[in-house]
Amino acid sequence: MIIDAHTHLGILGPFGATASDLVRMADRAGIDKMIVSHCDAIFSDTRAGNDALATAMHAHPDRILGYAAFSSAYFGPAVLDEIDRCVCDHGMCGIKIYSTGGRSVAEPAMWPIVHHAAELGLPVLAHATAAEIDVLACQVPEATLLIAHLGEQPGANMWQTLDMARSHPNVVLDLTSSQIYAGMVESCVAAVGAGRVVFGTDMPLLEPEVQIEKVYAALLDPGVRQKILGGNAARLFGLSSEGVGR
Amino acid sequence: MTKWPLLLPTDAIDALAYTGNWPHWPVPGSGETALLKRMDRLGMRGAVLLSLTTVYSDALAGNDELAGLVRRHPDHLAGLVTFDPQRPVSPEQIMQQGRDAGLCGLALFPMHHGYDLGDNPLVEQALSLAANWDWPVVVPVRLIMSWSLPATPLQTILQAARRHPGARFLVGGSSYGEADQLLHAMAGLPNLYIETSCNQAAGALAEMVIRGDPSRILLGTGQPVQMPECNLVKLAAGALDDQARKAILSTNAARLFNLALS
Repeated sequence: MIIDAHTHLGILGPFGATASDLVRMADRAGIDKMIVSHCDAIFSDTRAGNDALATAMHAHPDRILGYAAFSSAYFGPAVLDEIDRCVCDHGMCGIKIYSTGGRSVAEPAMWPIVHHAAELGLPVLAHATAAEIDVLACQVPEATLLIAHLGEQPGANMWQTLDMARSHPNVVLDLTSSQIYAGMVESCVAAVGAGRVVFGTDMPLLEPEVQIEKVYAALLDPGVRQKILGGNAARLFGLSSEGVGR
Repeated sequence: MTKWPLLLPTDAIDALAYTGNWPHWPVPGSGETALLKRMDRLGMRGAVLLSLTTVYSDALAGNDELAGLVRRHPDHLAGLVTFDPQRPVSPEQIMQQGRDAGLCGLALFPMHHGYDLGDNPLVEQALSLAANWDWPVVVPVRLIMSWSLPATPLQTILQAARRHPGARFLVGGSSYGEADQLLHAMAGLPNLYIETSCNQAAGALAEMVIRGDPSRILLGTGQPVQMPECNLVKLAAGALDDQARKAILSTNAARLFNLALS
């Protein structure tokens, strides 16, 4: 089973997808399940975005799972209620956080949010640098922190991420990225072990087949490959191998 | 539902591959033997090489090193001359030496050699000579898809293509951020070509074919620093007709670089 741990609904720049679009792309690429955040929830209207995601989850319960997400304007206590609403009312299975709008996910206002996610057993997918994740991992060591894009962004790279993740057993590496460095997947496995690397596509931004091929082209044992493509996500997000049920 | 692994297309000509040392992190599968073994494993017909030695160390030594590699494997490898205007050798001399040694085009790396593509008389001479010789000019926006490494502003490449309509420019390493601008420019610049190695956007190849010109899109991989499979799979996955797929996979590169690879 292939589980995509990093996918988006909604519109982001020139890219956009409805729930049907995502399912169609996943069918074409051979992806069984997607864990999705809504761009609106991250960048504009938190509640509307999370509600739209919930609608997509209900329309495609065997394919789409949800990250509760929120914009940087919501960093703070108000987010706790939104997380509870998304989890209790809609069954979302993780939260997505994003350093944007001049605010960093590493700032103290984020710590109780991540702590709350940890209490609920929700993995946190964080679009952030290695330095930011280092702060969160120290502050909330009981949280499961997935560092999106391996921390690759201007001024930060995956090699810094590997150095950071070696010392934080609660950090999981999300391979989703434009980067296709030779040996990158093998380096991730060597750094943190096969159980702490997950696959994602960033659909609808990135070509899903390129992201899957990244894992297939790597020199990995078949068992390790299967963990990365789905086994680890199933374990982290509490999915059964049969279906979505938490 | 698609089942993995996908069957990757064979018979490719890689229009953007590297030789020489990558200084930023260890790269598995570097070196002459590994390159040829990997190409054989993937059923690649050929590769056009740019020299990392010319980028990071010494343009003259890198050109010589690359010429030697091409000489040893003329059936599978082609190479481009790097001109670095910081070196005290004229473009005529460098390019003639490269041509005599069997190299087949010009590569420029303004972002690494510290010059402005729009403001260097020696580079202008090199571009004029490339046009006279009908040599393709390859200018990578970036060497590989990394947000942390230097990039050449796309506008400066487009301006050079406008100033030198007789020279064919292959824009390497463009990402989704440059795609719209590049495809728009392609309509007015028949001497502009696109290479695929750094654009991982969903549907990127299909969009290039629809909005651009399928005869001016070339598969590139950035191997060995990047995984070539990730670019080959774009052709397996993309909604392309067979004619466009074959053109991007090999025939456009064979035509642009005037290759007679076996």
